[in-house]
Amino acid sequence: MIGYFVNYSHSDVSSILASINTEKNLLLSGKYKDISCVDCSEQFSDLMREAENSNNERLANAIFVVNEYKRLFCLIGEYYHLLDLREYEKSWDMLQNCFDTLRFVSRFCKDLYDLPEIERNLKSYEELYPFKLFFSPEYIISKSHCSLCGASMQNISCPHRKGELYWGKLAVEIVDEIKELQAVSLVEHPDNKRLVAKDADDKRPPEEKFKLLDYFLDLRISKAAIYDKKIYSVRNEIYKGVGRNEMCPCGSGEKYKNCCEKGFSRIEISNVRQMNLFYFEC
Amino acid sequence: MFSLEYGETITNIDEYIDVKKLPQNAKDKVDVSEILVLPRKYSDEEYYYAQETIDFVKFCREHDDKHLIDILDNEDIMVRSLHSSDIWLPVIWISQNILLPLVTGLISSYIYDKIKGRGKETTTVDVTIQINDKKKGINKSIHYKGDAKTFKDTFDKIDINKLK
Ligand SMILES: [Zn+2]
Repeated sequence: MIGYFVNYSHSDVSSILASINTEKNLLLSGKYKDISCVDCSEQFSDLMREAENSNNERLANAIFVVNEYKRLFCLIGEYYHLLDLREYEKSWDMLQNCFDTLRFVSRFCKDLYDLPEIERNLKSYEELYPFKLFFSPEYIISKSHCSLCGASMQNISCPHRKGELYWGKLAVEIVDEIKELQAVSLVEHPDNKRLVAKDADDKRPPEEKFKLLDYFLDLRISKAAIYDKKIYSVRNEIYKGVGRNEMCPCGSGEKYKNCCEKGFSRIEISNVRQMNLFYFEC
Repeated sequence: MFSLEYGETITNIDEYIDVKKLPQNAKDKVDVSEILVLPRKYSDEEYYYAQETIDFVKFCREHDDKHLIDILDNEDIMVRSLHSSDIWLPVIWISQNILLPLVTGLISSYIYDKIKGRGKETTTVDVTIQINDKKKGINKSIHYKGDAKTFKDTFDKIDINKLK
């Protein structure tokens, strides 16, 4: 998809690609606050008109995907910024926005080698959150319609499939009626990780609740880094049979009772490098 | 990781048509269709279609115009939606066992299309194929639940002639 866009001859193509390169540079150099997350559709409007006038659905769809690809870097920038502010709860939702957009773009662009890199970077953050269980509702949908043509999506009369692109627009199912909510279950692999199972009585301050993430951010590693990490949690094998006054096995130089015994975990980071992003020639 | 279960008929088409008082043309569909998508009865004794039903039928029609692929109901169906990233496919009925390779081919292309872009995440597929081959007297169902990536290999190994 992106290949088609890159090779399409139109004067706006190279300026759009250049602006994506700029966003990537800002992201890697830590200036992600400077990525302007304004609506980019203006930038694409001439091309979109050309797609419509020349009856070119492929171009229209490619524009949508490139726009999303560009938006991905805005979202990642916003996410990193929330981490700087230590806005942990908010950052989780933004992280999920990043994943949604990343998945969408990856569906249409297999060849961009930076997408797996981005996934690796974001997954590393996800693992540092305390959220492991999610609510997943189970319900019976009795009425819904297609965002593109308005026809019912409960039968096959509408030609659109959910999640597909048609003339540069995404087909979405809009649910109008839920016959009943059958159950809400706790799952590990939900479609939407925003429905986090939380303990309502947990009154700990955020830096306690999100201590792994908090600890990681204290290490001041570049946000756009790729690295290997080892998390020493109190459940780890190395703590078995350790006396309270012995040196802590995590290597902190503290006594065990003053260190990991308190439930404090440590992260060991190695092989740190920058995310390898793809730059367009333009 | 996957499980493959063989069993008897999952959805009794005649019973469903009776209970839901479906019009004559539902019965006609059973006679002419080669692949027909069915609801199944859940624990609350109600019939629902699985989450991916409509998209799957549309996908099949886009990718295969030689076979008659349909959905038993004409009207709006009730869809059981689970909001998990797993792929819940309906009961897929075939009228002859020789259609099994065709239908598994369509299912695996559908799965491939669905998991594109999901990276390293594992996705689970749940699908039942029901064979009611009147001529050969075969009434059988095959239920697959497991890793989306191993679906094709698993079904490629099934010997359709041994299905009795
Ligand atoms: Zn539609």
